[in-house]
Amino acid sequence: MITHRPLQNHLLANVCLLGLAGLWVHPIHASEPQKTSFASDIRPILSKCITCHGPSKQENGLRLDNARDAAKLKAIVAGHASESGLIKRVTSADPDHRMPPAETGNPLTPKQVETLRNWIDSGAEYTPHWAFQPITNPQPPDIKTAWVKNSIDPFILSTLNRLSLTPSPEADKASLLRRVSLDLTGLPPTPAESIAFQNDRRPDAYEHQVQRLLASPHYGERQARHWLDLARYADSNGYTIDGPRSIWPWRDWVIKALNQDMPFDQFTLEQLAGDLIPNATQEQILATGFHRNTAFNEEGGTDPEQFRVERTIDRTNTTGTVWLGMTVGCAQCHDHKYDPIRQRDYYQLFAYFNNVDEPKISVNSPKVQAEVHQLKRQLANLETQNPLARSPALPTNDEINQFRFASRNAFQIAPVTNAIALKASLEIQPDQSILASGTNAGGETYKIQFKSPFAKLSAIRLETLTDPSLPKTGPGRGSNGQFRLLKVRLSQNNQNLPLASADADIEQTGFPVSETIQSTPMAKGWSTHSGKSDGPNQPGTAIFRLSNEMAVSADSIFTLELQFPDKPAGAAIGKFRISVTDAGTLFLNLPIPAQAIITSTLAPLEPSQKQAFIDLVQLKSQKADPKAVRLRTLIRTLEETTTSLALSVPASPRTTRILQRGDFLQPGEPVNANTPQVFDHLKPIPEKTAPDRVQLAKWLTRPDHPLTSRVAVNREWQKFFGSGLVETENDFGLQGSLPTHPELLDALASRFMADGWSLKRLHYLIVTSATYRQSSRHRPDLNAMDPQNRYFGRQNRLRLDAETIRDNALAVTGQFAKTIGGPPVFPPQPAELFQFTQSQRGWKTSTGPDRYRRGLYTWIWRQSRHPLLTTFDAADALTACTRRNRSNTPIQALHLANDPVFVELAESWAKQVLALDPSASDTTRLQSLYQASFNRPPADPETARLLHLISSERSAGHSEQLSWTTIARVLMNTDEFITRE
Amino acid sequence: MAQYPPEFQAKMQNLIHRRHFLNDCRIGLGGMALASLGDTLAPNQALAGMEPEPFGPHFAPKAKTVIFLFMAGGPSQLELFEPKPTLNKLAGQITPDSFTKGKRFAFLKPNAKLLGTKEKFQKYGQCGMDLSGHLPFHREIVDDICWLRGMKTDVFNHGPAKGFINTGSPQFGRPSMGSWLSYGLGSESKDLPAFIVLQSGPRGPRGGAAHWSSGFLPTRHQGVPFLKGNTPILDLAPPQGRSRTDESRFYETVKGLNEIRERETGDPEIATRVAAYEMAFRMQATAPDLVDIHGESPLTLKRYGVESGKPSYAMNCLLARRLVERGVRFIQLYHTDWDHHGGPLDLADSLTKICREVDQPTTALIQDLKLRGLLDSTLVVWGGEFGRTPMGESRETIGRDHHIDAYTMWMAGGGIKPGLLYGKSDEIGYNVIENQMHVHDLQATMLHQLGLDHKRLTYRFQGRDYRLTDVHGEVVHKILA
Repeated sequence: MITHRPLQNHLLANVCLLGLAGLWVHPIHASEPQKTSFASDIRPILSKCITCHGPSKQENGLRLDNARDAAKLKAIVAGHASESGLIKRVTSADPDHRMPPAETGNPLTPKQVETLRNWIDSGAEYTPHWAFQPITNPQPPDIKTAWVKNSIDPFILSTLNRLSLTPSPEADKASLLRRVSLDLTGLPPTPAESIAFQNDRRPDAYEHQVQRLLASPHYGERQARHWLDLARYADSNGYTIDGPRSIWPWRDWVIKALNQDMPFDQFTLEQLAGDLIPNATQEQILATGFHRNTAFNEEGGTDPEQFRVERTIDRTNTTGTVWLGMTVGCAQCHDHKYDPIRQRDYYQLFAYFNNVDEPKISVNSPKVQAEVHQLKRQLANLETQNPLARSPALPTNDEINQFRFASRNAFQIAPVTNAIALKASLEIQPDQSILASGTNAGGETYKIQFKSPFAKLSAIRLETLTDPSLPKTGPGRGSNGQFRLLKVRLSQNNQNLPLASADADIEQTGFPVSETIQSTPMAKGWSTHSGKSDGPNQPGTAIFRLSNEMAVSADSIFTLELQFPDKPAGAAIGKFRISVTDAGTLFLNLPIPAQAIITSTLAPLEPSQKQAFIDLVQLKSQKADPKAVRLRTLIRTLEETTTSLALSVPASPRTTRILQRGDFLQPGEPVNANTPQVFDHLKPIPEKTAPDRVQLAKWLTRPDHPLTSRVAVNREWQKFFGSGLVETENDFGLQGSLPTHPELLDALASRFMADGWSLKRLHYLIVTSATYRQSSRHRPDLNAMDPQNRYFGRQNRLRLDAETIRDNALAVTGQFAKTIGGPPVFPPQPAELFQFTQSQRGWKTSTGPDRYRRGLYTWIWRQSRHPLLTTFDAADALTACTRRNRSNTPIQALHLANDPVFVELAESWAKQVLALDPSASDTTRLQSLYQASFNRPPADPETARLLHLISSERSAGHSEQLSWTTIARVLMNTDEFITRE
Repeated sequence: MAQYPPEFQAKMQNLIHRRHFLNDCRIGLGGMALASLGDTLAPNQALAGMEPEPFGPHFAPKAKTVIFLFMAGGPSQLELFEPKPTLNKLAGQITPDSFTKGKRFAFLKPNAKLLGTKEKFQKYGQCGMDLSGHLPFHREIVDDICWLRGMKTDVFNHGPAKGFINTGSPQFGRPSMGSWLSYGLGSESKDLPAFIVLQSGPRGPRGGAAHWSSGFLPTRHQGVPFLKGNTPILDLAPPQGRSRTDESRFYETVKGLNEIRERETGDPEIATRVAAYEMAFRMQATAPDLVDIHGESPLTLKRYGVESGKPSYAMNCLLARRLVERGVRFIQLYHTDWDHHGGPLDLADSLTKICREVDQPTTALIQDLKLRGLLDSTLVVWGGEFGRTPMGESRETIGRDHHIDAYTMWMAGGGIKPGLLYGKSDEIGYNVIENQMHVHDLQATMLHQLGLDHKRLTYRFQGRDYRLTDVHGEVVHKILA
């Protein structure tokens, strides 16, 4: 399968062939005699063998990934290459005998054979994989030069020295401030901030700026976006339906946590297991939204268990990527081919996330919380003043008996004389229920004629029943077993009998049964559907009370007409039964489940039945006081205004089984939640024995964990340089790249933990280093030796991320709305966008300041993201994104040049420049635009170009406003505008 | 470095920088980008000796371009291409256990009853392909087509199944076929992106942009969805009140400032951006021309069935040919909706309606390409994400559910054997019994015709080398001309 590496590695390989190998692969040893390194020389060669002779497969019993097994069949005889089977096989003259087999198309080169031979002759030492070794705390090399600013720099400098390279000088103050402002807060410096910095002559003027930026509330916004990439955050469910979801309160939690510099171990604990922390706060539960950012399939006809497993797999893989920097997902179907992760390890990790439920939680701002508090006080007052508004005292035994007496005449099943439907065929069953089959179309109506055994008719009961012939057993004929009953009409001899009220024991939110007796044409009707795709699959009951009791004679025939909507089509009731009663209000006023309890038996009620009955009655009478009901409704609505998604623990735990070949239909052996075997030396967790998510979080952030801190600091480094010290930031496994600066990586990782996992301290350390402050100018000597700048002999010019491109343009043109947090917003976007999605998404373009909010707050529909985000490589919200692409396309050019948002910004910017001082010269105006854009004045050739443009604009007869808009557009379209230098 | 002579160092540095540049502007790898650097080398020569086997073609290609006519929703092979007398005989009976054991469906129960077809089939052409009355125009091209009657896929929900045929995986987030081709072969067009998506029908395909995503490949390889109407690419129109001359000054100045910055910083990425802006400016000129079909003869318009100014599948077929002429690598047309479970219209009526939209333009496209000598170098693929069940599904009317074990697609041109009937399903159309073609085989074969070895076209992401065909797929040599 492995045939070639991505481009950079090719380039690297070629440079190696040109004779720079020593410098490239182990710069540290460049000046020492060549020594074969297992990690960088041998492992890549052996990995050609490992697929068939490794942890997952041992053809002919041979395994080559560790010294002990490799020695067994004399494949490797340490010290004696010529006696080693491995060498014999890879050099065999017989093509059938030679390894690797020709059909793999991956032969060893003579040089690789030679390397293997040398390694075996010199003892065939297998060194363990660096990333699984304990993190050390190396001291910086003892180099003192004027260039060095802090403990990072000696590491960088000593490597550069070994390569006979020099670091770059510090960038000029203007570039430096723009760089660090964009990196820390995602916003450019304001002109006032620039001036203050330029005029600050203190030796630590820069450090003061860094402190200011770290304290800015916009720091949390910028850093949160990086974390949202990892969390695959979006405001919709994904897959084909892609319905909206509310999880932005979690996004705000991240912003707040980062602004408060919550220690990374706590940040980890709250997000993985906040709900399990003893006496968890609302905030801690909210934090578990991290793993609710998975996509959710709402498509009809899917198997809910399949997609629950998919979400659990996603959580497992994301955890592996974000904290371990490992591709654990490879072990979903089989033992990992390269890394020591067995399939069993995978499902043990999976088990931590298999035992979660996925609740929606109510999250309110302090303001709304105060409002709710206020309303609750009002309700309490009301209840004090008017005891009737409160739940009544418990019913006495006498009262209960009265109910029981009343229930004597409770519902009896009505004998059906005729049942017809407009489209379906209806069949009367022996138990008098009616089953529908055949055509299942919109605009259906059923007419049922029945008699009553009573002398009076006071109410009709309609039971909706399940049946194996119905989709997901019904009770409806919709694909999920749902129905939608639009209208109910009762008549006798074509005389309409008005209905006074309708009650039901189950109602889908928004589809109450009361709708069925309204005359309004907008009525949506009654549904018992849970709203989830797994269907109701339970019977329901509705009771319709007649406005006037009817006298019934022996030959009275009533007609009940049930109407179903045109749309959704095919949502008629599949099986139902009609009952009648003559019971009076005392009984009918009881809630339906209470009616069921009281009619269930003639024997005295059990204590538990009695309690349930009392509870139900209380509930109902509370509802009866209109004022209290209004207040209670208001409180409930407010509490539900802001919701988010979180994790919780299910009432009954699920057993996790190894899924054979990763297929949820093939569960195998059961496993318990546990951490991977390769880290067994990190067990047991002293303070906890029960394997839950708390255990996992604490295990990940153990100080002796070899991966978490390294993976985290590497990603943080990447934020400030464009690439990490380990280039494969998402793969610290055996196939990943080796760190260019292993000692620096460890020094940072151990410092990070020693500093209490403080991200702000880490960021301070990085951005105040001389390494960070270097100029990003390309240098021929560096380009020749280190074209990818892996050794940081200069800074990198980095194209801004999608959201930062927008934020920077808003800030530069003076339109930026500072509000932090809150629901997502809808900045303008082309209407054509939704042509390509299944559903026409709501995009009600925001007005006022919400048009100018940071890109972080733009609503993200997974299937139709804002074109700014797709065009400029924003994270796709499908898998954890550890590093964004930085592409450079004509589509981006068109976007910046012509998108109405950017043109509008250019126009308003031009207006400001013209309003500034009517007598200002063109050059002065250009200077002010340049200062705002780039934090520097224009160079002469730049001024010349732009003066030429402005005069051509004028000669073309364009207004000053349009001419300056063009100038503004030009600046906004330069490479420099969207690049942090 | 000291041991190398200075001219060698300079040359190497130059190569490295050129490499960087080429890497980042493959979207516009025509003569322009290089010419602007004053380079006279053809791109492949410039790269010669730099790479062992990175980008394709791996061997001489048969086709340069792909048109994928994607029938979104899953057309019924049993009503269009596959007469099954036994199925008609068994109609109304429960499907024998031997067929359904262990199978899963989106909506059907395994005990659903078999549904015969009302369609009358006849054999056409020298190859004797069976066609029902729904596709009268196709009769004229049966011998230009290789009929794949033994298709097989793995997934039975729309979104994931579309993902599967486009990206080789049912999970979203992988690069689609067009992106792989753009990555592997670059573009032949200097004015247009390498991968373009056109769409017709009542709505967008389920799953949306994921189907033309470049996944983890750099975004310059993503499919560019054209929009209906006169603005086929987002933000193509200049701001109001700006003429092309006005805008040429704008682009000229942007270029001037970028070049100043490039000299200042030495960053070759700026040269890529300069090239991107040049392409953008040219696209503003050429893309409207592309959709302006006034130059087409009335006969051509009539043959495609294009109604002037009206977005349609017919219009998109015509656009596809125009895109082929302009050197676009991968053109994908989505036409919805073929998901005939039994809606307000029954199976026959639904098919009559949609086939009327598709039959004539598809035929015209094949004939037009052939007439212009483009069919040999253009691989045309027709089909959906899956087929439909031999069992009936009763909703408002009777339809069919999603079927993944046997269905029909077709290919034409691009070095594929014309007039070949390949693959066969059993007597009720349930399973393939001869010459099965799995979706991964189809993908491998398509790449092969473009000169790419599907096992060698890989990209490393999150520690793994990914490819379009995952770890599967065989090139089906039997269907190659």
